[in-house]
Amino acid sequence: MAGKRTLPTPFSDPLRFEGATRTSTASRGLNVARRVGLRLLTHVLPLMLVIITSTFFLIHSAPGSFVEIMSSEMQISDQAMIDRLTVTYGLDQPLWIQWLRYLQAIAQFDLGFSYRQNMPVLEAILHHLPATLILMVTGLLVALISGVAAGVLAASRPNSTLDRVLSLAGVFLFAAPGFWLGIMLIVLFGVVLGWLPIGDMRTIGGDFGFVGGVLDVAKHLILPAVAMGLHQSAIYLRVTRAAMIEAAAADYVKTARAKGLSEQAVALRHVFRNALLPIVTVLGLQFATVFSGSVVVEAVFNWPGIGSLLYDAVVARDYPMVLGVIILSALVVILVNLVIDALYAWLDPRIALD
Amino acid sequence: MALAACGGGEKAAGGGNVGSLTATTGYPEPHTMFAPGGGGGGPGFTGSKVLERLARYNRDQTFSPVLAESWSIAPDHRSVTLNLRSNVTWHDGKPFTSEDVVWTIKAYWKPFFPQTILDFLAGVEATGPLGVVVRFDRPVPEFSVGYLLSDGANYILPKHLYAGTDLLLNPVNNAPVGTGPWKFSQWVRGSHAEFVKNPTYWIPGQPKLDKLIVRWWREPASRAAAFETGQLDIGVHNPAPLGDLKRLQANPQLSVSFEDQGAPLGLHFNTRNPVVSDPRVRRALLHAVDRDFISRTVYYGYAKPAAGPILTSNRLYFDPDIPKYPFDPALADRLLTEAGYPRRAGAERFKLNLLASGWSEENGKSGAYLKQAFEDLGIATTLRVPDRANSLKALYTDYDFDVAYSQGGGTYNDPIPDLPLVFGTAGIKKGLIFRNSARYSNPELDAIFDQIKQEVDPARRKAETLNAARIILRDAPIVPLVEWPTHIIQKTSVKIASNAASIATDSWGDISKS
Repeated sequence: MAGKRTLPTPFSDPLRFEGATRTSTASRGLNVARRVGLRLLTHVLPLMLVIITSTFFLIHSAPGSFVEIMSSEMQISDQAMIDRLTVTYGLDQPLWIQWLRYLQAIAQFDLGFSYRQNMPVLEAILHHLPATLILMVTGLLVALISGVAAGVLAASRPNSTLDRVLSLAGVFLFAAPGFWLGIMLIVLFGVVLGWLPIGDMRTIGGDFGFVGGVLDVAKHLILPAVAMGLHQSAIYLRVTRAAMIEAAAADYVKTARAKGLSEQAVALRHVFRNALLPIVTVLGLQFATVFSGSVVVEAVFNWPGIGSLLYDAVVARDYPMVLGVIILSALVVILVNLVIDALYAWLDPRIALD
Repeated sequence: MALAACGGGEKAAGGGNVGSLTATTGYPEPHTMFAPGGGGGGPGFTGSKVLERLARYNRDQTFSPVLAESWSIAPDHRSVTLNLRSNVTWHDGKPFTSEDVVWTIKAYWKPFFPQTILDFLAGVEATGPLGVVVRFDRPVPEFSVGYLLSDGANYILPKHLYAGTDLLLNPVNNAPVGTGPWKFSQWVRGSHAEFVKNPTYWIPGQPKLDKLIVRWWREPASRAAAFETGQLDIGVHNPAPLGDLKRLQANPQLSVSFEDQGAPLGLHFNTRNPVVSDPRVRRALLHAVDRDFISRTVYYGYAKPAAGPILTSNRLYFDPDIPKYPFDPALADRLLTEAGYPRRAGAERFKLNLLASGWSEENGKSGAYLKQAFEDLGIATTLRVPDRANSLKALYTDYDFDVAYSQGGGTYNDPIPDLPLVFGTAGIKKGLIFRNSARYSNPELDAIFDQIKQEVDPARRKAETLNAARIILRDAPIVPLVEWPTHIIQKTSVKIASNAASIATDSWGDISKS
């Protein structure tokens, strides 16, 4: 992991991010673009090929075909009609030909057509993507802020009662299943207190104008984001605490103390900044977890995002949709990790100089 | 403010029953708003709000007119005259006429509804813009006629939108055009569908509300909570998990009611598999099951033990003296020994492939109980609970089970068409769901069904029906164990005036909110 992170990346030029001495000469811009292109070609493309291929064969090995389910739902027993559907959806071809065709279509940014959603797969995904991104980003922020804050607090007095209480709370939140946490939040804030709506992203049938609409979404967002964030925050708590305690033992911290800096200044300026690196690493890794975790949270809160789309697609064996969602999710996770690599260089210029 | 609007509840100036109703269902979001032939509870719910039938079947086993103002059966019972309602228009403005009805009966009903009196259809003719005569080769019973006009998906379709198309794949199914109180407005897939008031509906003053929103909620526990927060006004088809029902019943804002028609759930035996092809083995397995226990534990007492293919809720034909399969493990043990499967020390009597259809949690739990009950008898039982798609495939396409716990196998009104579809030879159709999963075929029973279809004398019909029930119970290909009435949850402020036997699939023009 650490080895991978120290590879030069297209974004690992500290100048680009510190901005102070950045000169935008044409040759320099070209250089960065070339490196981005190279990285996409050597890393992202082969990875995507592996993901597409393995997902394709995995989903086709699941029992129950799309035409079988469609015909049972539609009460079609006429074999001629079933044959026609099989041909229409290209399911009469050998699997490897279907796979080649699929790759060919994807190369042209065509993810296929979803019978279940009655629209092109890409269109359906783009339609649902904003909802998921809003939920994920808010959820991650909740996790990051609460987890890091708790971690810093816990590390300030290792093995104190405060530390133990916070760690215990963290373990509890992490061990509690996401859906259970969601339902408990629903019961408390929706049913008992009646403060917040417990499902969907907007008030259906409501019309509140732009500002009112944003507030409406925000109100619907609180519970799912908290359910998602609290579950994740335990990880940030653990990582922050460990990194803080480790950094606190470093020589430069002793120096800082010797200089006569206050404990607070030492903790935030010297210890915390050096503890950020593992936190960012976890952030990148957790992004994928949050994406998959959104399936559960979205189901509990009836959130109209990618997770709900994927759930419905799996139940209906809507292969093009399942594949499309997985491929796009993989792409998002890969791109986020590219950004995280860039963040590394910004946080610790030594990595770039490696 | 946003919150107040959540559950509808907005009152227009002057008050009254203006506003919107937010409804949900225990079924998942359908693949289409209206599915020709039915397509299960999902499309059955949404389609029935837009499209109408000729008549309505009521809770008290009577029929009342809808699109047909009246109908009469000729003295020889071989033809039916329909008088259609005047001044009815389709949602797109075209007039509703006898042309629509003639086309619907020929092109939709006839191919989609087998084992009904339509098997004897001789011809359908329009006698005028509002008159239709339907002729049959053989005499047709009065109840069967009423039932044909009012059953589930027997809607009248607009000929101008469907004629000459492939009904199943017609895009109008996704945005249906009907004559009902609710006009389809939009469908946001994955979330909800909206229906607006039909301003020219033929019943003055209906619908009583302006808007109907149907929301699909994936998670049953949070769906139940949404009733408590007031986000949902009404839910049909078992919207809440049974464990939450007591809490909801105690809530003064909510009322929980039960549809009379309990869904039969029971054992399906694969009559083509060597061991369970023997009726003695099937009877033994039935005696091994404690139906009271299943009703009390799995269904929290909301289900009751079933007696046979004529459900106990069937006010037309149920006979309490019908032979039953009481819980009696000792008798089960003896029957198995007689069938050639004695209990052997250290070895199983035989192996059993048990399937529980995975579309409801209760089916899986009942499956777990059955596995134990069968293993207590010394039968090595493997239990599978596949998801909905694979359960349907295993039951109705691959016939991959020895014994299955699933729904079906009983009727709460006339034996036609349900019983021939489930127990008749004609019901063995690979790939068609909720038909003869057992592949049970008995020419004697087929002949009785044929007789019932054309028996016009009510007393003789009843005798024939009970005769069929006895044969089915003796051979035991599919036997209901419990009857589970579906529940409806509604706010106490929501009023339903309808007397329809199935509230869920009624048109809901008369629902009001105070």
